[in-house]
Parts: sequence; structure tokens; C-alpha cells
Amino acid sequence: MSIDTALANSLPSAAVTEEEGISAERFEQLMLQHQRRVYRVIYLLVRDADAADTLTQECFLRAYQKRKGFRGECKVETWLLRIAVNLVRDHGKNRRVSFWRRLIQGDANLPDPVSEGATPEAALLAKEELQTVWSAVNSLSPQQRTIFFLRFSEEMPLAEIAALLEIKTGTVKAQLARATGKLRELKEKQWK
Amino acid sequence: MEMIRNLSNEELSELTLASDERFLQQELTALPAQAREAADRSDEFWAAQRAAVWSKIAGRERAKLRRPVLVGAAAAAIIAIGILFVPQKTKPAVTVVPPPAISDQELLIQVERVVQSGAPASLQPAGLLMQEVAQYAPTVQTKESHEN
Repeated sequence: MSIDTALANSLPSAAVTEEEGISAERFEQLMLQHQRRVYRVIYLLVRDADAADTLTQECFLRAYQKRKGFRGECKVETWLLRIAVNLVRDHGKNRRVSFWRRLIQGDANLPDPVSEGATPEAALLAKEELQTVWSAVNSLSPQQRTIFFLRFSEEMPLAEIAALLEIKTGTVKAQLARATGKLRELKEKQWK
Repeated sequence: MEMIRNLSNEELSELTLASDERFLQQELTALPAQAREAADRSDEFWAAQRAAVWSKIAGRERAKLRRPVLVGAAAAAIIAIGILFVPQKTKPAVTVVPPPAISDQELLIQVERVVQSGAPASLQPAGLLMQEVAQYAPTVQTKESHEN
């Protein structure tokens, strides 16, 4: 276990939810604790490692600047991910061209889902199925994609997603149902 | 008889979602691990990322400190430029023509010359006046000396 991981695990999440906001001293701990998840969510949404790194840095920079305004109405992680999702949204607005680039290049950044010990045939099949899902996720609207990843990749409860995106839980359910519906449709087409 | 009620939109979404989740179970189950694997980076990467954040924070803090000075300097520059370039009300140039420097004594001499050179009758009073002035002039000087 790395020092970072050990420190992150030892920090209680309530340590930074005091009424006076987040002190500069605690900010380093906050980064240690949350940078991986923030980066992962951003990476899943932008599919670009460099952009994800830059946006993660920008996310923590904004969080630092706004830290005194944090009053603990929600979890620190929810607050950080809200900043991250907003940054991704702005990034997407500025880079519409990335869609075309992805379309041309394909999903070259996707991880190799081959698990250890699987036969080559099974691994290939699993890889194809997962590639299908990832490609299908790209066809979702930005909000549906965000909700989809937060729910199924980050395994966040619906209420927390609603708090993060500042929308109703019912809207989260509806968007998620549409997203999974599209994926299901795509999978069924492939089977045919 | 049992009443059949219509499902609300939310309930319908829940049912659809549950059905889709079952259908996509294999893919959805693999997704968290796959996402973690995709976003997995070395400890050096995370440390460098934190260092970059602190560097950016320090840069912004420095910029924030410099901002009032820059704003002050910019304001002073604008005021100075304003003073230089704002058209000022042009006052009409008053040309003061200095009177010809001529003393009383010279004036009297000139008048005397005119009178003696056959002045017209209309200037006769001027001649008398000159004689009178010449007559009383020493008396005035004496009086002034007494006062001193």
C-alpha cells in the first residue's frame, strides 16, 4: 500500500466538512483522498488522458479558490465531482471537434478488458462486448453519459447523482433508463 | 374487483431501468473494474498532479497579490494620459502691447517743441499748461523733501 493510499484511507471524510470551510492545510489531504476518483470520472467523460489530467488540476484549483464557501451541505466528494462535471461540460462546449476525432480514430484509449486466466476466445468475446458498450455510451447525450458513468462505473446512488448534478432524482432515473435503453437496443441489434 | 392503476413516469422508468440492467448485467458488472483500470496511474503521476495543482494555486495567489498594484498603476496611467490628451479650453491669446516707454519729462519736451514750432491756436491752452507745470514743478519737489 502506498503512502498516498494509506493517508487517504486514514482520513475521515468528515474531517473537511467543518463550518468554517476547508483550510489550506487540509487541502493536500483532500487531494490525496479524492484525486483518483475525480480524475477517473473526468477521464471516462472526456476519454483523453491529457485533458483529464489538466481538468483534474483545474478542478482542484477551483475547489481551493472556493473552499471557504463550502459549508458541508453535501459530501466533499459530491462537491468536487460537481465542479469536475461542470468543467467537463465547459470543455465539451469548447471542443466539439473531439467528437469527430473520436469517430475517426475509434476508441483507441479504451482499456483492454482481457482478464487474466481467460481463454483467448472468451477474452476476445468479452472485449468485443465491452467495446460495444463503450462505443454505445459515446452516442449518449453528455448528461446521459455522465449519469450512466456515475451510476454504473462509480456506483453512486441515484440520490447522490441528483445532488451532484443538481437535478431531481426522478430525472436521473428517466435519463438513466433512456441511456440503458439505447445500449440495450444496440446490443440487440448486434445479436441480430 | 381489484383496481388496476396506471404507473407513474418514475415507476415506469424504474421498471425499464431494472429490466435493462438485467439485460446488460454482464457489461455493467465489468464496467467499474474496467474504468478503474483505464484511469489507473502511477504514484508519481498523482504526486506530480498534486504538485501541479499547488504550483497553479501559488501562481494565482501571486497574481492576486499583484492585481491591486497593477490596477493602481493602470489607473494612474489612464489619468495621466487623460490629462495629456483631453482637449483643454483654449484661452484667446491676449497680446499686451507695452506702452511706449516715455517719461513725463520727455512728454513735456515734445509738447513744448510742438508749441514752439508754431502750433495752431487750438493748442494754445496746451502751451499755457506746460508753462504752468514748469513753474510749479520745483515747488513740489521742495515740499516732498520737507516731508522726508
